[in-house]
Amino acid sequence: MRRIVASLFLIAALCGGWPATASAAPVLRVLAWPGYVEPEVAAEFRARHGVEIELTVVDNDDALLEKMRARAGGDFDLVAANTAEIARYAAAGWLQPIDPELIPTRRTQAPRFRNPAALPGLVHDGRLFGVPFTYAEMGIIYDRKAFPQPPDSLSALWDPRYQKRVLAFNGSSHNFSLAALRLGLASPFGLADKDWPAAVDQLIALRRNVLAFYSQPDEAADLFVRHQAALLFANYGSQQVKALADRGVEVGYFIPREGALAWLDCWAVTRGARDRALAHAFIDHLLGDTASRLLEQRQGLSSTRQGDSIQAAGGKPPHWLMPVEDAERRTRLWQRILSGDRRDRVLQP
Amino acid sequence: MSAAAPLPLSLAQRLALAFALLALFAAGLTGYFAYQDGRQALLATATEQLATATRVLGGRIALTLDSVERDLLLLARHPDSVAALAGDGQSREHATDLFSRLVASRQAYFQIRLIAVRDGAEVVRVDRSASGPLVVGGDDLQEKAHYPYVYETLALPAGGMYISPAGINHEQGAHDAEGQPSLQLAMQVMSEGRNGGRLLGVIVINVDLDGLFHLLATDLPGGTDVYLANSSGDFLIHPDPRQAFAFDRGQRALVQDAFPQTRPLLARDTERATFRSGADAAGQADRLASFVRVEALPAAWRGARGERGVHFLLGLAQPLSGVLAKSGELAGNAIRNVLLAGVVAVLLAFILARAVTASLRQIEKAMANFGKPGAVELPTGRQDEIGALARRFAAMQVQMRAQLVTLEAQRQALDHEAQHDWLTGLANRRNLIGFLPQALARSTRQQSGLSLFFIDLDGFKPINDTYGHSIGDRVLVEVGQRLARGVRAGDFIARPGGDEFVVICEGLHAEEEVSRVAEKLIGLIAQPIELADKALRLQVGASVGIACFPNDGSDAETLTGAADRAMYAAKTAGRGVWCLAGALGHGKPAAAGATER
Repeated sequence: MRRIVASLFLIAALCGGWPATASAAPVLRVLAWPGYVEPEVAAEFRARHGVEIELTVVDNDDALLEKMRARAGGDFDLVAANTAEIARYAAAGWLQPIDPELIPTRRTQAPRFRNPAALPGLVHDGRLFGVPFTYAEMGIIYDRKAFPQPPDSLSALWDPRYQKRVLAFNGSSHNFSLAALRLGLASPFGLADKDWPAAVDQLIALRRNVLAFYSQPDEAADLFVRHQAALLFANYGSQQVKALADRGVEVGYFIPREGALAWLDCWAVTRGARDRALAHAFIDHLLGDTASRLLEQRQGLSSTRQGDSIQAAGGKPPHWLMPVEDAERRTRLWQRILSGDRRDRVLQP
Repeated sequence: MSAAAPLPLSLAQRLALAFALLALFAAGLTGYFAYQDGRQALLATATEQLATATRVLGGRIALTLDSVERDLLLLARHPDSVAALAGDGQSREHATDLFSRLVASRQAYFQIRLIAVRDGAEVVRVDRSASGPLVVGGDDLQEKAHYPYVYETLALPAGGMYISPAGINHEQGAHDAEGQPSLQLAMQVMSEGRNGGRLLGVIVINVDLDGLFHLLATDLPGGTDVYLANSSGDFLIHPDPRQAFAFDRGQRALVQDAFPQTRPLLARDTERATFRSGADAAGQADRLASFVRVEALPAAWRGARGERGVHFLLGLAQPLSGVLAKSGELAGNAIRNVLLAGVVAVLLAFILARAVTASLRQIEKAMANFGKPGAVELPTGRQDEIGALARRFAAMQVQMRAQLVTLEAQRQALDHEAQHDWLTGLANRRNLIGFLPQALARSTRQQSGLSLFFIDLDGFKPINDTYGHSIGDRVLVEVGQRLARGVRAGDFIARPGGDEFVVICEGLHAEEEVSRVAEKLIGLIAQPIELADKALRLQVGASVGIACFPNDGSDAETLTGAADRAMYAAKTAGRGVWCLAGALGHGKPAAAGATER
């Protein structure tokens, strides 16, 4: 009888089947830039804290803003953004204040990155909202073979001799700042109403001179090599110099005499962070040895352990990114320029 | 006895139960394997069908992309395209008209554009919109030189065709295409000339990826999920919209992670793979999945100095529950058959068990009735073990009966020996002791008389001493025979020992009768005995004591004692006389009853 029961049971078991139960390991949702959270870094954190990292990579500030705005920072636990963006998000209430006590590895950072007062944009209403992570100035990469004399000016990007051999970055804010530098305006971050048409003209002229507007460092390197580009606006700074050197291209890098934009990317805890302690632990982990080493060696970026690798051009300090006069407008107009609209259409309200 | 003790089962019940269980088990096993085989067959069929469907769909995609290539080629070489790029207004209108018709007829086309190499500006552009083909002109025409479908196409060898990676269209003002999955195919447009002509621009067709697939996948059975991945494994089409084009949102969702079995396809090791995909963390149930590698547009470039041709991974998946919906029916059939077979098996088992045990019971009955009248028929005719058992038992019965007869004869002989004198064959003392009380009881009941004659031989001892015991024995035998002749047929004669004899006659009442018997006996004994072989003539006499019931005693002991005393009185009175015990008590002379001799 047992055998019969057993075989009936077997049949029943085959007819049915057990519902699969999904395991619910905690997940840390991280919004970051290429190369910021390398697989080794995520694996180490997972091993140490038993937490899965769900990484979302962005390649321009417009995309970052879109993702943060979607649910007022509710879709993520952590975000990496430059100081200007951090200030913007903090003002919008999309971030939670940082508790420095929970990030002991900060003490390995260079002193200038530990002084919030010296880092405009990170402090809002007396509370700290970002922890510096990496920084770079946005210089220009050039093919040494294409230039008997190394270029030193931003205008090289507009030079018709290099038409279709220029690679620029697809980012609204930086490109308007770049146009402002080219126009010699007082501040790249505060366009006056009268400055807009000129800036748009600059950018349309740039569009007609470039081969493409890239988003990711790898993509830029690939285009540079395949299309034998001569100039590359290095939005990612030294990270891109390294990417091209890794591909065996003989490149030079210069800070234009008109001045350079520089960014300092920081980690922030978003409004949606479910476990504040865990989010702080992740920031602490990203300041640690593995992350810092990979940032420098693999990405060619500077970690915040040293504070003096920014190049200055002609004694001018770099323009650290600041909140711009009207980010929305920059974005709107840039999308039109990128889509190929002509001047009048771009300048439509 | 505890309550849990099992009820004793008869052999028939146990046999029936064992047979039934065995039959049920066999039926269950058969049913189970039939179900399994049926299920396997269903799975195999479904797998084959799914693989075929995937292959067919893959073929359709390749064909459709090939047809886009043909359109592109046609448009690139069309004189109106060439002339429009060269600045001819009339041709531009003709080209616009041509593009509109194509967009209207090709459901998977988002846009067809002619872009001048001179400034990268669109010259002719027709977009698909909600209201049908939309001709874009004037200020709405855009400059597109910095888009890959222009700069990559221009960088190709003369006449080259470019295919973009599948992506989300972020170009503003693209009407239906805006924000949609699409891919662009573009080709150089050359002026006509002896030496291959001059590069005038590019013709670009923007293909609606979702539209293409909805068009192709309309005849798939319900519940079928469609997957499409690019050559890196990024999902382009996925039932869960969050998984499709995840790279466009800064994330990765890869086919090789969701379906590890597709790795060899991505590595271009195999053409297709069909497999069962286990339940995943996203709560998807067991599925049957089939993937093929779709190779298309072998001539198309993926970029200047880049690779040629495109390949996608196309997959179809069906929930296993749907595939095996019919296996529920199979299981039902199997269970019904098992139950039916089970019922038949139980019935057969009982009949079989009864057939076996009926014969056994017959044998058992025959054993119980052994030795009793009315023989029970044995199943000796059967040719099986039970028949053999019955035949063996019948033979044993015959043998036992024969032995019983022998035993009875022996018992009777022993009984006779115990009750009779071995020499004369007359009753012995034990017989006499047994017989007398019975005879007395009988006489009491019938109120009749009984006479006991106690006979002692005279002159026997000298014969014994003179001629030996053998001669003495022959004398005793002769005396016994004479006594038998001298009494009635029913009278009792015994030789209690030595030379003493006892005769008991029932039904004698009168004294005359008694004395006549006594005298007759004395006379018979007194006749000479001839032993011819020994040439001897011997003679013995007899003294007889007689006791009569009821006068001389009503019980055996009294009566015997009285006869004994009467015999001694007769011996004392002189040999060859008889004496009645009744006469002794009255002081009569012992010889009162003596004969005249």
